[in-house]
Amino acid sequence: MSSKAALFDSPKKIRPGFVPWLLLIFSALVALALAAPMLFIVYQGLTADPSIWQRLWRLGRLQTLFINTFILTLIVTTGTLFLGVALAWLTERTNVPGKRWWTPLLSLPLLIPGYLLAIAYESFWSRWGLLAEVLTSWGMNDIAAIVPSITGLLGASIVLILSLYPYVYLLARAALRGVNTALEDTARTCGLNPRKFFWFMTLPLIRPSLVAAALLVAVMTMADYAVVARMGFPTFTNAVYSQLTTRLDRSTASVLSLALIVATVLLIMFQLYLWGKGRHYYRTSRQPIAPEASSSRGLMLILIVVLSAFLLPVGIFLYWMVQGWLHPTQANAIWGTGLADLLRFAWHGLLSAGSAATLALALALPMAYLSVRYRDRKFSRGFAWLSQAGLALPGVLVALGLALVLHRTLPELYFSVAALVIAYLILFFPFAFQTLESGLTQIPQSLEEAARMLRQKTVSVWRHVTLPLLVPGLMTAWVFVFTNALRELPATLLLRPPGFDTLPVRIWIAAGEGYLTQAAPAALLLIALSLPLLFLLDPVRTESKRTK
Amino acid sequence: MSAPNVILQLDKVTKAYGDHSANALGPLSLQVISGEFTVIVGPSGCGKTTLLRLIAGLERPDAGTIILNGNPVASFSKWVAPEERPIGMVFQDYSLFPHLTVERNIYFGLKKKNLDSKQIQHIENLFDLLGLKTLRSRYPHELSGGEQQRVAVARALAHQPALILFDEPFSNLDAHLRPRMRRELKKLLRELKSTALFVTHDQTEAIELADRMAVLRAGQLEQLDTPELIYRCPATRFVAKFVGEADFIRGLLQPNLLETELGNFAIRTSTKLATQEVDVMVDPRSLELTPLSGNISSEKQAQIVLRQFRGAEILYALRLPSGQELRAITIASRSFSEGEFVQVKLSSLPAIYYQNKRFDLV
Repeated sequence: MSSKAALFDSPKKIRPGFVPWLLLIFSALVALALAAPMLFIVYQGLTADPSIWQRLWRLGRLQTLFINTFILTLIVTTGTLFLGVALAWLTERTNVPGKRWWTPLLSLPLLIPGYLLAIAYESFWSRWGLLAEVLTSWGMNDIAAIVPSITGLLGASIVLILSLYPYVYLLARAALRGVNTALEDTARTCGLNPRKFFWFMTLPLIRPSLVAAALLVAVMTMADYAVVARMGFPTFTNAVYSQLTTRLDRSTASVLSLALIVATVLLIMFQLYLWGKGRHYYRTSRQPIAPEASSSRGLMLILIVVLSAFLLPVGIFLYWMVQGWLHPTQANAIWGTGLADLLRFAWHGLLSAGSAATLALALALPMAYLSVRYRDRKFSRGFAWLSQAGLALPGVLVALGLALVLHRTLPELYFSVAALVIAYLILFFPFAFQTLESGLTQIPQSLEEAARMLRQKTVSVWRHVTLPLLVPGLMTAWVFVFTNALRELPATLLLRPPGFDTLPVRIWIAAGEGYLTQAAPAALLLIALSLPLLFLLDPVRTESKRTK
Repeated sequence: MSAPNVILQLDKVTKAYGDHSANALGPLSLQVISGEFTVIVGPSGCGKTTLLRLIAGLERPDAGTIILNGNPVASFSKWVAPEERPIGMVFQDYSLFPHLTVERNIYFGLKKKNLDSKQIQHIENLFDLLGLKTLRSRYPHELSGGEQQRVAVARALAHQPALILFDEPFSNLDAHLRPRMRRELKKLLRELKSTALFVTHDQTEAIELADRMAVLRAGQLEQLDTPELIYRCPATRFVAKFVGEADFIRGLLQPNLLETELGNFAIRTSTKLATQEVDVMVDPRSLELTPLSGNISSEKQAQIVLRQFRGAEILYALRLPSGQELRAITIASRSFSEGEFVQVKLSSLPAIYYQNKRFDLV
């Protein structure tokens, strides 16, 4: 019977192998659901009454927002690039004193979300600020009177640069480590002096990393709502937010959002183009390179950055917290600065962020598996792309999109914890997906095949081989989504159910009303809860761990 | 029906990949006899790993039939998943589970409490045979390359497979370790009366291991024979080049005569052949080199362009008057120096090849 087939001259075709239909359908649904809010915004924006566009244009609103957003993004991106690369150079390639300590200290600002820095600075500077107060108490009234206030474009730029530079710093540092030092030695023997050599050799070599870092910073700047709101510098996110809260006008909000989405997509395409052009790595074993002598200016720069981006804001919040304890007021009870209240707000955050992180992993794992193990299948990459919408979507827009979707489908979910969790999911799912994808890529497929050859079915292979090996990736992804969701502000402000305040919301509202003594304890707690980020975001650290 | 001692049979199996045809295979037919070691050898990209993966069930053939132990496991009407085939496999990178100890790697997929005493004895015996007793609680990254390979072999044998597949089992070992590991593995598999199918690109390895050897080229089987036969009577010019050390020179085949640069040979052919150009295989060990004496015709003299001392033998690279280069291997007692001219003689009638195929002279 069996050998009969062999008797035919050309044997019949065997049907092609297993197509993971279940995974494909699952991924399609998840990707669509995650992209739905953005698609709705685009749809709403495109179908909006043309008079809205005309009105916005005639009033000069669109133009102002475009120019404001563009200028801020440009300044912040340039500023973080300069600062980040300079600091990475100082700590990697020079013998600046105290090098060992600066490296971790310079990444500490990661712990402080931009809005906390904005709140701290707002209360610190200006003629009526904390600094002026201290100066006056020391009898230096003249100086106190000329303390500048930090607001507007200047304030937003300073705060965003100080809170976003660590991303550039960490990526640039990793890139500098990755550069083959033999290449640099060669350049030097060919007679390039150190300065020329930095501009013509090192910088081009680390360009791919810098472009990636610049993209990250630019997208985060465009997505920022809180810092620009605090500093009174209107950008798109602000405009959308105020349309949603004060005017309750979703059509105008959608039009503005569509403009922002288009701008973001254009920016991403431009940077991907740059990235693709300069993608060249020379990675081989490296030998330690002789550090250059550093000037005292380098040390000064590091000191100023560490001081202004980390020590000063933490110090300010500590000061306000101590003030709050020393002079308890009626407001304390209203604003809930007691331990029990703090824990309640934290619990809200843990609950929603924890659910979002767990859900993100559950949804990302099958998709990442499909994307890594069935790379050749037509749609798997497409779904992966679609699900990354959150990367380019500011929290304010996610809230708007979700409002649009829920309004039409499940109105009872609007203003519920579920809506909040979905918003976090949309915003931070891309991180979970990317982490798991790279984790799975590191597990050789032959391990799964080996398990199958040892008589194990698919489920058993997953349980005994794939999942145990993926544990570090799963943990990283969970903590990353969790911490980011815990710190999320604008979407939480817009979507939270009444009474479900999280730490960022409490800090934001209290600070907005000028009750800094009441905001400070929550701010410090939030900074402490962000600590795991420090370990996850350092590529140098994770790389060295991997090589062990 | 296949003979009872055929454990694996492939009939016209084909496999093509959409974009790159490099690893395409077939149609290919092959038999593996129970208790034998079959080695599939070929240059990289010849499809040998694809063949192994098809047999394991990790890939599906496009067409054809694979019969294992008399049961079809892949055909147009039947498909048996890899986990349901009585096959063990040792991967090229060993694929040990990095999160499990040596013991748990070897017992992977087996629950001790479900095993009878005979099975446990079999596995424990493997620990002994492979010298893994002291390494039980180690993790793969704490083992040397050789130790990792032994664990991979033990793990594959633990399930008592009817057939065990080896994908380039020695390629990850240091060159100086390979001969010893080959001997040890062969001895072990013989002791356990295993049937094994190896895949390698190393012809020395193939010759040493094989009971039967299959030479694969561009997805096609060139020859399946004992290593002796393959070495001595390569069926194609490709096999001769790949397995042996042979060189080829041009020859002219005429009725009852073979003309070559190394002299003419009287032959008897069964058919009347028109004048035909053929390839003549020259075994370096069949060349006799003698010093020039004055009255020899210049036709058979060659210049020594390179001399390599190899201990018991000396390898010479010769240049014939036509410019063709040949290798000659002689015993070390007779020595010529570079640049010298020598007389070359073929000690026996050479094999000839026409359009890659061996052309038998009756």
